[in-house]
Amino acid sequence: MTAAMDTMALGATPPRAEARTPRSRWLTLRRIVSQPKGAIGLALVLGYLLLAIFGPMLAPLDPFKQNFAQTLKPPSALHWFGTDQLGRDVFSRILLGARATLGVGVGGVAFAFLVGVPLGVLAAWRRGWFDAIVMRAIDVMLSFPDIVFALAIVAILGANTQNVIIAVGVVSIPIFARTARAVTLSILAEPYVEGLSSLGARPSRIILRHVLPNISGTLLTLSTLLFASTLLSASGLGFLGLGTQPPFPEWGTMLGEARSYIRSHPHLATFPGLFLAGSALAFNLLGDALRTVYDPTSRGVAPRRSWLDRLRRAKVAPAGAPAGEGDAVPALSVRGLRLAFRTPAGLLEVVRGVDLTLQAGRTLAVVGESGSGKTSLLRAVATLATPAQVAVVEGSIAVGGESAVGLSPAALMELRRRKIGVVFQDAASALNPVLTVGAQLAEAVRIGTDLDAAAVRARCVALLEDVGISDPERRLAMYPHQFSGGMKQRIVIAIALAQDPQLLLADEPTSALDVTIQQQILALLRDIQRRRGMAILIVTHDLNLVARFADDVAVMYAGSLVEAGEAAAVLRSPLHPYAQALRSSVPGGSRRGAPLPAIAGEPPMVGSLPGGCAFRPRCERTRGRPECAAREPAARPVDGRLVACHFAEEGRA
Amino acid sequence: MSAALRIDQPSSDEAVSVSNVSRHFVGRRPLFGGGSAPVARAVDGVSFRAPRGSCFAIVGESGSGKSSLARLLVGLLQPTSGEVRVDGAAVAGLDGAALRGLRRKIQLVLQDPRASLDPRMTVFDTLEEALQVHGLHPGRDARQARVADVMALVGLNAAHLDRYPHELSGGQRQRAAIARAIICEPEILVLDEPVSALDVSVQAQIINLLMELKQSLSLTFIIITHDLGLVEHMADSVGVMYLGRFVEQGVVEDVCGAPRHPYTQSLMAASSHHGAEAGAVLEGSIPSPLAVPTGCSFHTRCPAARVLAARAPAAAVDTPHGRLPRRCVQDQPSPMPAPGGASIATCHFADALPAQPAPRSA
Repeated sequence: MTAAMDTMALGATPPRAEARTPRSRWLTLRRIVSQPKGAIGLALVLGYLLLAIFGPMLAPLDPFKQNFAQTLKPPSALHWFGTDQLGRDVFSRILLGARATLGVGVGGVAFAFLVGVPLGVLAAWRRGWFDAIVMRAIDVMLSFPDIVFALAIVAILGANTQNVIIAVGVVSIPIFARTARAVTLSILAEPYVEGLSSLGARPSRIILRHVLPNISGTLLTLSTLLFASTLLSASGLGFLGLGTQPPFPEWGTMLGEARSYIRSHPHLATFPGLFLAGSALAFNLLGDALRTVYDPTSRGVAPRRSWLDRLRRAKVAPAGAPAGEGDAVPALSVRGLRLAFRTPAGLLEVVRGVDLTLQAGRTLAVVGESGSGKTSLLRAVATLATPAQVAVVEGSIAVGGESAVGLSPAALMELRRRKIGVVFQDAASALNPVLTVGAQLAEAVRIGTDLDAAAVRARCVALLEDVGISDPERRLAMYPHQFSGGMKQRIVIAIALAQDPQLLLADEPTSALDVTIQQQILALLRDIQRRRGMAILIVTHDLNLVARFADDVAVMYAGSLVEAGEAAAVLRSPLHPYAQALRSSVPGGSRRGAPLPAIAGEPPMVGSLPGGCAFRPRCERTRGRPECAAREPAARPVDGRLVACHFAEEGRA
Repeated sequence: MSAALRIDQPSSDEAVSVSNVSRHFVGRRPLFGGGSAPVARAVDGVSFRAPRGSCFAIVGESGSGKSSLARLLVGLLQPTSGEVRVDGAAVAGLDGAALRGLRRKIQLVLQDPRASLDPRMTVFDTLEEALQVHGLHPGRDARQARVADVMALVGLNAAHLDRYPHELSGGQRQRAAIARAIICEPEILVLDEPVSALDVSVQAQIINLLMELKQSLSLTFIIITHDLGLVEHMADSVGVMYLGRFVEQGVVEDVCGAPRHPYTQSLMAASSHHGAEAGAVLEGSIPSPLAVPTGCSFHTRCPAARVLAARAPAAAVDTPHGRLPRRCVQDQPSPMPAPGGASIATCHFADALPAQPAPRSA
């Protein structure tokens, strides 16, 4: 999860991104308005609401007064939208009709909501026969076109406003029920619901206090979207003469009445039509914006930089010169790298001056906790950090001697393709579930080459053999779900190897896997490295893995390296107090049952680091010495490694 | 020492006793082509006892059935056969008030506190709800007092009460989850991977907290984990699960110090703290519980069986997984108590294997 948190922090920017803040209704509003469609939609919806409330009062002329001297007049100064076949003022009728029209929409949605949501929630909760009956009934209802269904209901119940509401409401019930059922099922699968059951909570409590609040966002969004279609169904009924009865105006009815004059007097149909279309658009826009706010997949990557911010875009610092030291060009060279998230409050530094050198054929492990910046560092090296979210404030990254900072998107992609392979923690989500493994592998092989189909296939087979998958010919035609977790990770590795990278980046490649499978994957990576002479940069929180797998280690804390050197030496006798505490706090190392030497406090939050040494508040060595508070210690060589502590020598055993 | 071996006679001194419990999930019968419905044996004949105040660890990989076993213990799943007794009372067949009473005694703490707390409730609401569910400490003042007590016990302060889960750090969230579990004064905590979602530096804090609470509240712990370091640190006895069965169980010193089952040996080798490249890497992955291998369920991956087959070719047969001893492929092994120690290994060759004491960490 460490990595997951890191990744989330990277996407959303500041860690502890307020994903779904229950407390701040205002935040929801702000996030709606920060999207152009949300701002427009909300403004339009408010406008229509005002129209529905105050419209009748604003009407300049009597909407019912007939004047046979003035029938079917085009728009004029007196009659802004012209007059209808009975000489009534169209503008006034539209203003008066707003309430009826929008009222039917709201009423219909409310009716559907009140019937559909309980049905769906109950179906999800009860499952079994109740669920089966509800779902089949819904399937049957959905198989009729909406308008036909609504027509039938109005025809049976009789044409008046109340029955129209029922008719358009019934049409939407299946959609509410289905959605409510689906989101309830997903909430019921959450561990906290299981926890509540084991606590002994009654079902009614679980539903009312836990499920409903959590599904409300989705259902609210759905209501807004359905409002538009309900409005249109109602107007459809009005158009067919089954809605609000004359002389009361309703936009759909007005449209219906204008039907006979559509050729000779098109203005009659134009204005009600425009208002109707506008209202549908307004609610659709708002619903779309709401969906972006509530959608779990957009959560975290929601644009923190709103369209307003984008106008005053911060300048990306230019890249430093590529570092080429000595004769052997290192596979990776990072110099003085500082990375910052762009947030509404300004830049937030997550990587604060990191130097790394990784030679071909070696493995470097970056160890750290969530929020230490290790994943941001890896993504920057992988050239996957989006400039819109992460800024390279200072420093350089060179992969195989080529600078990876400040390139155009195309050049960046080319560099990534030729030199870098990436393996992520969660193999299951790194593969596309609807494409065969062969298709995904072939895509990775084909990019940037002009191999023919047979050559691509041969290469795919060879890659799968490389990662130890037997019977590759047959496996190419299989889908990701047909593989176990370990096998999926092998396939992800094969994809990363497709372009013969010089540098393989791995973000917690085994922490989602079982122990015995972890060993397999690590053995495989080591074997591939030996054969290809590739450099591996691995990001992890697992010290056992570092001990077994890495040549070098860099311990990261609050965006800086606190200790870096040969893995064996650093793990045997760490000098930095954080590295020492990390090693001794792993259970199994100390006396059984005795309290573990835990590090006090919590990992620091980026953006709120203490002055001086960042580890100071949790450090046992500082004992309030002024040096620690005065300035941040620079990394300096001690006992053959780099340590960033003013009193590194005190760490010697 | 002998407590772990007495796995058949019940006793009133046990907080949890599990006798021969199985839980099978029956799939749907194929519509055409006949055949019987597939049965997944998630838990298959598991027995263990946890005396009051002890800590029993269940170790296994994903798919081993350890999570199903945890849910059987807290009554979220009903066993297909066998019996789970909590505090001397059988879990099966309880309902209504009796079931709620039992649930008060045994509480579950889940791995990921981010997911196990309702995101829309403050810490106070979450804790108060637990009291309301069981009608404890009636009156808002009494509940507030109890909540404050428990917050202090888990090392949170009043400022955390009004926070939502996402406003807490990982360690604080897990503390809140533990507070929810102990607020109703349970006797047993079932801890499902209690620290594996936390940062390394915070893990130690939570482990220390749990050990303190165990002592001061005289709790019994059942820990479900894959982390053998954690087992060695916290547990008194351990059961190693593979495909729904315990392949080895006994006191921690014996099982972790001198594992007798080849699977336990591989696990120990895979997670030892030593830097050196340890032991052979176990091949393949855990088979589906829908198709448990015949004979010894571990034979498809067992490194020892391959050695044994090479040593005694006459008693070996060919399988898709190589040449293996006939007994491993055909006969289901029965539990074999260790000659002198306090562990039981379910392996035909438990004592014929080359001794592989796992290197203990320094």
